Amino acid sequence: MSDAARGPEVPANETLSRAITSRDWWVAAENRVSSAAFAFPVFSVDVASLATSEQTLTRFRSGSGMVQFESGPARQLGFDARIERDENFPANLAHANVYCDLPKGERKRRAQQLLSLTSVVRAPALG
Amino acid sequence: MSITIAAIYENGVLRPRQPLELAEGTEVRLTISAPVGRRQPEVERSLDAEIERLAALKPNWDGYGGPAINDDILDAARRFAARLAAHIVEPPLVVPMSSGALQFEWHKGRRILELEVEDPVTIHYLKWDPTEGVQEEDVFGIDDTEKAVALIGWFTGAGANV
Repeated sequence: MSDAARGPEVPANETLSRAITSRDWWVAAENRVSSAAFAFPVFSVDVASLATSEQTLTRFRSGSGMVQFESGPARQLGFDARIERDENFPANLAHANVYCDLPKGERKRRAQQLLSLTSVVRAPALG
Repeated sequence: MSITIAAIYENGVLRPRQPLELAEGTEVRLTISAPVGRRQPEVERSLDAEIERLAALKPNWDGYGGPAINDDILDAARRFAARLAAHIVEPPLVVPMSSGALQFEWHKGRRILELEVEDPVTIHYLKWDPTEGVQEEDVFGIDDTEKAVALIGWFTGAGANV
């Protein structure tokens, strides 16, 4: 998607919430999230000022976890958050897509750098 | 005195595979090297089971509309894992990707190795240890077992840098 076709930028001071919906995305031995939750050209988040953690998590499997990061520092790494419609949950007005416009050969490194900016709100407890 | 023994690493402890004629409390120095080319049925079974678990994932397994894991990627991952099992000391996590791919992941502190079966012929890898200034990302052919073994050796500390 071209930059012009995207929704409005999420302001730099906003916090973004990413649900951890698979136990495979959680490295239990290290108590941290796997980059597999982020290493994509585009992924979904909620803007924390528009939806509480509980509101976000109600849309996902019981036991899902959550991590958060700030929009501004993430954008500096190449993760561009845009307010856009939630295709899976159209009633979710807090939704943003995060675009990673970097070449494929840099995505894993940048995902690790993004991980260093994330804080764990809730560790997943998925079976 | 210097002897070479086989040991298995379990629950954070190295357990010798045979009795040792050492006095209780004897302190020893260890040099660890990975077994080379020896079948490790338990590792093979563990990897097979994990891959089959991912094969059973249904569309939208991640709650974000992710597709089921691609059949061709699953087949390639099975062959890749079978070739590598003899060289794996620490079984990896086998992780589904929302793209329909999967990856093998090893984590130890800040040291991370990711081998993603990106498509049936390509491994996209990350070799990561910022404490040592290692931040390497690249691709190699899935049949390049030597490269994969060298990366695993780097992670476990049993191989040379690659």
